[in-house]
Amino acid sequence: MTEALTTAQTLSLMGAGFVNALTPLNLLAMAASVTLGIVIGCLPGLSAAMGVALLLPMTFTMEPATGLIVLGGIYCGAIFGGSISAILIHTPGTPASAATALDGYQLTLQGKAGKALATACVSSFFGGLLSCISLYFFAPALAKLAMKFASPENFWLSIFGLTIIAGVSSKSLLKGLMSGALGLILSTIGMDPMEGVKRFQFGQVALYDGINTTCALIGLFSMSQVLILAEKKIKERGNVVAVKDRMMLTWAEFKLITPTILRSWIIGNIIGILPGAGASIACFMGYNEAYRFSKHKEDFGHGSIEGVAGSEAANNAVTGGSLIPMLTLGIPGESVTAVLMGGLIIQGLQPGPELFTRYAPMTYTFFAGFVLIQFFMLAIGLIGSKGFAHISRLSDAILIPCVTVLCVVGSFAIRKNFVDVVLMLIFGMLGYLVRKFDLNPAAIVLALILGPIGERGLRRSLLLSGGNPAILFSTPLCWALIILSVIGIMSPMLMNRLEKKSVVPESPQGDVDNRTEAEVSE
Amino acid sequence: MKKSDICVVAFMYGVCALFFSMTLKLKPAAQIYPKFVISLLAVLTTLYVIKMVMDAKKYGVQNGFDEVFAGFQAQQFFKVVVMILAFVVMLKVFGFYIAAAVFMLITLYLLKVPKLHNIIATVVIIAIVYFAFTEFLGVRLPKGMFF
Amino acid sequence: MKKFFALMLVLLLAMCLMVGCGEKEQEVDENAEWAPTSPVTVIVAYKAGSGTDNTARVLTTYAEKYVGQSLVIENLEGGSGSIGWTALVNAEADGYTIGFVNLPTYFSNIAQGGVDYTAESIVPICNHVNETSVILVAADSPFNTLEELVTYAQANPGVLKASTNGNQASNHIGAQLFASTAGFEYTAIPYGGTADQLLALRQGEVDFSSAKFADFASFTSEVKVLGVMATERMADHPEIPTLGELGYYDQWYGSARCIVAPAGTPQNVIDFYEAAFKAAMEDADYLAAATTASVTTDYMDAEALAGLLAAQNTFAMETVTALFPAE
Repeated sequence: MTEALTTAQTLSLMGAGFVNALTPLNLLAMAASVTLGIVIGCLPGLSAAMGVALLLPMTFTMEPATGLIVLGGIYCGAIFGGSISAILIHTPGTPASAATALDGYQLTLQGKAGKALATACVSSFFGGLLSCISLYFFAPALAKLAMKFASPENFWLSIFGLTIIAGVSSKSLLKGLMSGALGLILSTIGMDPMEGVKRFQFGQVALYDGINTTCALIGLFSMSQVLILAEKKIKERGNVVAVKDRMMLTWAEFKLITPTILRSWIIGNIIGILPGAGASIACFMGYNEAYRFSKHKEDFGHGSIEGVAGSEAANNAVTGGSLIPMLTLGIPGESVTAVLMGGLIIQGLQPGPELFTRYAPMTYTFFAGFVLIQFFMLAIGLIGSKGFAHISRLSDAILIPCVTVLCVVGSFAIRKNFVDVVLMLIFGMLGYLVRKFDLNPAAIVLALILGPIGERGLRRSLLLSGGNPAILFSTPLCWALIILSVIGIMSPMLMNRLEKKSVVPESPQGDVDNRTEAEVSE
Repeated sequence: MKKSDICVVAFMYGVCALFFSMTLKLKPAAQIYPKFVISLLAVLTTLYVIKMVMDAKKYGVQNGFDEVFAGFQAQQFFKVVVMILAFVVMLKVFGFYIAAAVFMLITLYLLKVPKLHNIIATVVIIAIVYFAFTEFLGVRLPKGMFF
Repeated sequence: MKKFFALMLVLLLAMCLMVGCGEKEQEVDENAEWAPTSPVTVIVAYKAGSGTDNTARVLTTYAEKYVGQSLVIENLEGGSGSIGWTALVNAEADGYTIGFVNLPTYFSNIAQGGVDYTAESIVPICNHVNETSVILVAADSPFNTLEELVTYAQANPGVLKASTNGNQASNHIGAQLFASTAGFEYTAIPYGGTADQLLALRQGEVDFSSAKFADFASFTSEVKVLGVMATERMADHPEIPTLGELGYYDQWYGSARCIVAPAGTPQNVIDFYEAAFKAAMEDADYLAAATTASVTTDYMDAEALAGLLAAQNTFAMETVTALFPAE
């Protein structure tokens, strides 16, 4: 059994890692894998996990560190890539960019697609880079935190996640909550996790594990967008690129989004270490927190770069965070890290302390590679975005069938199952109606993702305690989450009241208590 | 209040009723959680109804439908919907490539896109799907009668 | 208008011709030596990164040179394997689709009903992996031997909690076999899979669990193995008693992963794969890789596998259904 290394040894290994990572082969691998990842990410229906699983066999013939770097490049690239289609055509390329679509697409409509893409790229870069800091220095502490999340904590985590619905509900709190409750009902479709009986499956074997959230997301966000484009007069947007649209952010804009990026880093990192939650939740949380602390709340929902930054920094911060429990404890946080772990095991590397002692050189080379990948992502992303921004100039008429085809293929490709295509269309229709009648599609998605986590946490806790609800209040972590949830629900109302006292309010974010929809201007 | 919101409320209650009737067929232990979320939706919907009634008293009744469907291009919309449904059916019968090509060409034509753009877009999309999904991912797209 | 439709028709025909030439009809001559001439799909009914997927990938990487074509793994997860296995049994029986089947799960799914495949839907090729189930507790558990656990459990019925990988899934069956033969009651807590189940054990949420060695190879220091469900002690772990020694379940129980083809696949195809995989499992490179990846290879030829499948079928229909009385 090898002993733990001294600090000096560890630091020198870290340095050596960078030296090893800077070989021409590794650099080439980084560039290629990031590009591939970005392409995978921006196509709806192609997820990071799919891409990583596909390239996994190819990495067996490589050095372990190089193989991991390739997989890491795809992972980070894909998480950023999803924002490209989210911004340009309101079609999140991966679930991780769902929140980016909210404000990103608005920016595109204003002709500022380039700015939005640049914001997403820079935020993704910083989110990923900062999460590497956690990887290097906070891994043991964060791993311990991950171990503390048992069933009661998972339940409160999902409750806290659901309070975001209160935050992203722009027009009416009640309608937002109704959307969330609808999502919760839909999340019960599938096998009952505790009793093992089928629930609401309408006789479809494919619904055994419930509604696939990626499929629902594609329908609710992308297919509904197709229908919304189809019902209005076709816009030729060739001339709508604003004169002032530049690829780079101004210094003032950068300062504006810095606090958001830092907040999203912490949010994304912590969500990343928790099993099951993942980037799709992190992006909404980042978006919501950006809104909560923003001094320009009125921009949200109408093209706020803080919203885009909040979402993208958070989802890339998840990448570094999710590696921590996987490498230290063998707990894969979500699908991509599960595949990465498989890759490690097949190479004969067991996750755990040995990765940091006996195999430390390999591990630190991988970490160094992960840092360098962020730079590649920034460069390739900014260069590519220039080209991508031109897609925003495509006429709606062309977008309608193109996006439809991508949605259909994408939803089919998730599980090679035709039922998912039908489901996607159903959700597309639902999403269209939801958006027309001022309900909240993001709330439905959040509830679909968080509902099962919460249900399992709650029912498992009660099963463990023999029906005694006290177990839900038994640890300090539970209480921390409860307090966060309460703050989460109360804060929109509190913030509105505070604002009322200072300024005569003209907030389009409806305050349920005092104003009605008749008063709020659309 | 808006008349269009009556539709929202009716839909939500409908969902509750549907799922509730299905819940009763499950075994008792498995009914608890579904009943919980269904009642959650029912309660929230009822709160909304109360709010609607209160608003109606304060501000009168508006017809929300004209806002919801402002600028609605009915012909265009339904043409697109019909094409999408046809695409999915064709997918099963003819396989992906034929269905996609036919769908794209016809839809773009119906939306009055210039012929050249029409063809380019179709070719580009099919190429993207081919390279990304069939070559790279090896996803076996639905095969119909021909291929 | 006319011109446009004419153009479309031509394009359509052109596309038919172009792409229609792609897929060849796979005809199999039953009497000749057979070998695949294009890539073969291997269906794995669990997601990428899972235990089954990992062991499958280790084998297919080294088996490719014996098969002569690339073996493309297709992950079709969901429904405790049902989705993948349904696709497998419905695939063309032309030798270009084979798959991994997990035992006893394949048969316990059938016993529980609601699946579209039966014991006759598959043709055995060979067995790949055999893993024995063990009973384990957390490293800091107050129980150091199986008897201590049983004594406590008998005195406190229902108090002890065991995590499982799903309701009536393989590790639940293992725990149930242990408890029913040792005569105690416990509470089974289902989790989403083996990784989650073992995480709960490490976190101290539950008291014991049934799993296989490969499942906790990454964190052996965090758990204690109290017993193995085999007929004799394991060569690698001679200090761990078998359940049978202590008077509990005395048969072998564990999971096997075997390679099968859809029913109707011709015999020469089966023979080819049987030989190819046998060679792969004796390949030195494969064996080295398998050891580092904790894969316990246990080759069984098609006939022996057929026997195992039949035994598992009986096991599922009789023993398993008796373990879980219908409510």
